[in-house]
Amino acid sequence: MSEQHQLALQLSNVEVSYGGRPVLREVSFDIPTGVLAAIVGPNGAGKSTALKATLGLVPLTNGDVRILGTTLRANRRRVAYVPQQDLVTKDFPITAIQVVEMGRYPHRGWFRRLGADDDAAVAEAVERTGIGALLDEPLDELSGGQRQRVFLARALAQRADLLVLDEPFTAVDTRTEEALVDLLAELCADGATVLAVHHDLRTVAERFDHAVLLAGTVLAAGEVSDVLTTEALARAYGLAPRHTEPARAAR
Amino acid sequence: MNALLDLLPLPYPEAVVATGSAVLGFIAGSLAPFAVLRGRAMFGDAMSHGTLPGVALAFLFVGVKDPAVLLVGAAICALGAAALMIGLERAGRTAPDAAIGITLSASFALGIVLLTHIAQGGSGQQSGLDAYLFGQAAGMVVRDVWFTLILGGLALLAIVVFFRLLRSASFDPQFSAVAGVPTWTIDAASTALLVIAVVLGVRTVGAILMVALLVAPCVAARALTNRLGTLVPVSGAIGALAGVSGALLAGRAGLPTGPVIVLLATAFAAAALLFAPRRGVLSRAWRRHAARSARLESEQVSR
Amino acid sequence: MNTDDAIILLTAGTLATACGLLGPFLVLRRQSLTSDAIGHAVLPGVVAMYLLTGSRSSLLATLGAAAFGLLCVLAIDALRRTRLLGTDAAIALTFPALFSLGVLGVSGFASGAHLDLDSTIYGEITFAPFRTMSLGAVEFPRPLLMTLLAVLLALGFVLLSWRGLQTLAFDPEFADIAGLRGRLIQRLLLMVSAIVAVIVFDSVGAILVVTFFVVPAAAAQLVANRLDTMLLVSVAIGWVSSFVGQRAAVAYDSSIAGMIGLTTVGCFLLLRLLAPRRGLLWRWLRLARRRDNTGAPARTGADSAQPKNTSASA
Repeated sequence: MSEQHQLALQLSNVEVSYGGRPVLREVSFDIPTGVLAAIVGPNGAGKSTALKATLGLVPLTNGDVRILGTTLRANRRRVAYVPQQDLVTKDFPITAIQVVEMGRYPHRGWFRRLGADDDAAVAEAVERTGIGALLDEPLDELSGGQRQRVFLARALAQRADLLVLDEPFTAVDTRTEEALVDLLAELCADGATVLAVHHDLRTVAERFDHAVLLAGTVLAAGEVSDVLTTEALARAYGLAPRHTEPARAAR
Repeated sequence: MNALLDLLPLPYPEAVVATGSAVLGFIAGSLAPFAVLRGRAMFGDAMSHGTLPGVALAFLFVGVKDPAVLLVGAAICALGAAALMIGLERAGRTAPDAAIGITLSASFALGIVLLTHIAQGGSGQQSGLDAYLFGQAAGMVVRDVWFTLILGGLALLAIVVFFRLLRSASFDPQFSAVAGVPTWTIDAASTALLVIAVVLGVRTVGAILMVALLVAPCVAARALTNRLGTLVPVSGAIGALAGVSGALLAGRAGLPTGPVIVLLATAFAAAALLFAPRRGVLSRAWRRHAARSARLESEQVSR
Repeated sequence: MNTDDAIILLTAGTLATACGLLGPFLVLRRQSLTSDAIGHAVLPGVVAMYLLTGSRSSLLATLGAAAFGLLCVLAIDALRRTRLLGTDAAIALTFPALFSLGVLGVSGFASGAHLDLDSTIYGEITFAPFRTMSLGAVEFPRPLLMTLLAVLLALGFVLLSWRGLQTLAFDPEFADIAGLRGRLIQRLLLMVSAIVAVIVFDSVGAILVVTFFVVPAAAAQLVANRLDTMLLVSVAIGWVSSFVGQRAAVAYDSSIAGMIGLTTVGCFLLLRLLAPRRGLLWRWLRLARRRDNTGAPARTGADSAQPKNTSASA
């Protein structure tokens, strides 16, 4: 694992535009190693775009991204990505175990057979996410929560140092959500860094360490308690949403 | 191959057509799923229409009806059609389905104009070009079968070698991109596979109906299996079955081959959708019914 | 331009009007390819009606053929509802089968006479001036009468259900909730399109149905910001294409349907390049200018107005 002071992720002055229209501008923030971090913000704030820009899935019109101290290209194995569910091909003929095994491809490449250590990583990921009973089920017959467990298992099987998740808890029941957040927190305790786009401010306030408040640009970034202030949220959402009050009180 | 064809209990020309249609059905059925499963079924339709101006242009440039030359022209224009569709989609404001519609229109209008032009040249040479519209299996020779077998076989080999990559990238392009496979590669790969299938099939089945030979076997196979590794060969087998039975039936009844093959492939798809053991409509309805009656029974017992 | 040319032009133009009024809704509802499917699926209907009535463009034959278009729409819908395949696969499964039936019908029973495979592709617009019927004392070209009826039908439908159509085009769920009967109107839209499609089929052939419905509407989408403007622009594009296409066909002694189709696509491409604000040319110029200014290479891949779509399909 990397040194204590190293940053897992560093965005400086990132700008992304679609068709000449800027979606993100002057986005700069750091995510320290070993934290459970969330990107929050209103609809259309560019949260997913920020993740995709981080991972090189959309081109930057300006700025720079550093992942685990260097570039993504040098770190592909160490970065696991769980995309938004609607970006995954629907109704694809694939079983749960085949999805989890995909997590080993960045290590094993596209041609070599999976070996014993791959099997061990897959087995551990399956166990930690509790999907042992689902392995041969076709993915399209699983519930939203089960599917999300499978995708998280894929990320775990990759044994990555940085996990990037886009809206991992949509269409997921509250019990699964809690279990998955517990699991993410465990990973962080082991030294991995997790960055998730999330819209439930209450969960973020209660469970996450670090947050980036985004609305086209960064309004606040840092410790959750410093970011989710009433004033900052009011600026991001245009008005202070009522449900942020109990969230603050909860801490 | 000739020895093999002699083994079939059929007159020689019929044996050639039947074998050729079977090979073609297998190739089309097993190359298409990588596009069809990604919601790109109608891409194949626009591309097969794209072969029409290609065939006509190749004939105009070279002046002879050499199948190999026409095939190259068809392939180039089919790729052009794919490029147009992807380009229009990316340019924004035009929805994917409208982009397909525009490409279909462009291909076909250009095809008609060129074919009319050639027909007016009136050299007698041009007869046979219109076979590309509705397809023509008669006149297939052993050389055609070999060609389909070799080109299609190479494509199949590529699928086997790159299977893991193709599966990952068509299932989850974003994950695969982070793992180092740019998203455009899967577009390029599935388009290339479609081009090969379309170019090989269009003369037998015709530009208008080719899409059925791409989609129907895949739909049938999808109803029967939940694994891509099984789906691809099953889809190929269904395509081959439709090809061979369609060719024989059409030959015996004196009907055009393309439509008969298409109707059979569609019938197989419909049967699979209805009767598939796990995913089929009937089996699911039966399971729902069983679940409901079990619930009712338990409610009655508890009362 | 002689009278025959004028009749052909009027036939094509009125047809473009009917399609231009309906096409925008199909395009906005992402039903472009349904119109393609309908265009093919009516062939068995045309064949059957021809065998029964001996004529291709009587009102009865049109309605009978349209029934097959409707059957196609219902079949696509039923297939989609099995959730075993996507909309595009459902379309690709349905129309080739119906078209095949039609082709078999033509080659089995109706070959010769007035119905052959060529006319399913090229349409019969060239003969429009010669297929006359007596209307009172005057001889009137029957195809033109049919296309005029098509315009009346399309116009009546659009005017009567304007609000519902408008809501349907932009927010189908709301249309259902607000009691505007989104689903009913969508059904009606496809039904009217099916009837118009038969008439288009008769004039310019199977494949140009999708051209007439989709291409002018997609082109109008590039310049119009309001639904009513979009309708007007798409009708106008239809007329311009009919005129230019017919003239070009005469000049180069080529297929009228093919030339009209080509000019329609040409109009689209022209607008794609040069439309105010949305034209690609302006976008490229803007990028080039920015590259000059900043010295940094601008990356064109970011040039998408539909980020979600692109990344999903990329």
